Amino acid sequence: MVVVGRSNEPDAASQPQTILIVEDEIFIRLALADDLAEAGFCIFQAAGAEEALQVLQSSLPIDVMITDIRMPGALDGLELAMRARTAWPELRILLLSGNLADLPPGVLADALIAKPYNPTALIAQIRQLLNGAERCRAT
Amino acid sequence: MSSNVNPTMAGAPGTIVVVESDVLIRSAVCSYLRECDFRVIEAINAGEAIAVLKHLSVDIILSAVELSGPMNGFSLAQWVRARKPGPQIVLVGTATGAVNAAVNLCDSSPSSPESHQAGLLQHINRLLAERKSQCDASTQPQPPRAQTAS
Repeated sequence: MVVVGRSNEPDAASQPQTILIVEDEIFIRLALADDLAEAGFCIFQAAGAEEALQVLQSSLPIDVMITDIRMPGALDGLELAMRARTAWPELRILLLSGNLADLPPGVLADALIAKPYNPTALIAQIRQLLNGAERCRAT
Repeated sequence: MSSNVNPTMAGAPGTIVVVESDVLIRSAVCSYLRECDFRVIEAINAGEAIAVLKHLSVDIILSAVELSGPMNGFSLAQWVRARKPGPQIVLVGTATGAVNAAVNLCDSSPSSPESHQAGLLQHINRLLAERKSQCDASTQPQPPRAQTAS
């Protein structure tokens, strides 16, 4: 799979960093997009895992993917995260879930965010990841 | 509806709902309109657009004719005309539809969507100006009505 234009080292000074929001519920997606756009990020939106993979496979430069876990369609957020981590190891991945306790161990993500999310904490978490915070595997 | 959605922001002049089922076309159109300083809400199909229209005030609906799901752009336009008299509606033929139609109708292939961007922006600005003038006219103090003789 060829990836064009994906940045390994996000340069906050020259370009806004880009976030792909993957969420099937439109008002949650819209709220996330509003919060993150107001924080200065460039936002792309996908309504499901298949759309997200289309965006990731395109030339759009995505720094961070925030994905809901439960989504309709053949792929859920966990499967999407696994495929994205394999194909684009530099991509930062945040998982959103209404029930983090139900997640299986060893989930491939850089951060887990509980829903309903706190916008301030979410933005801080994203900035931390983009600033090179060490990745950890959820246990 | 999420409490995080800002209805005031969504109802500000220049709010456009873009309805397009192809994520890459939708992303390109929405990015372009945001660069033009419009407030843009993305909907993947008519169902999402209707959900937005039921909760938020918008100025323009920019919808593809061909959409995933049971409703196409014409059905969405009919729904809007029947229930939401406010928003202006712009229907756009997708590249696939245009190419299919061109096979039987035209001597050359359709031009690229990029070449229509300036025209689209001009069209949207004109619709917004019309909508604003209508709103301004409706808020002007009305002269007292003449009494009718009984």
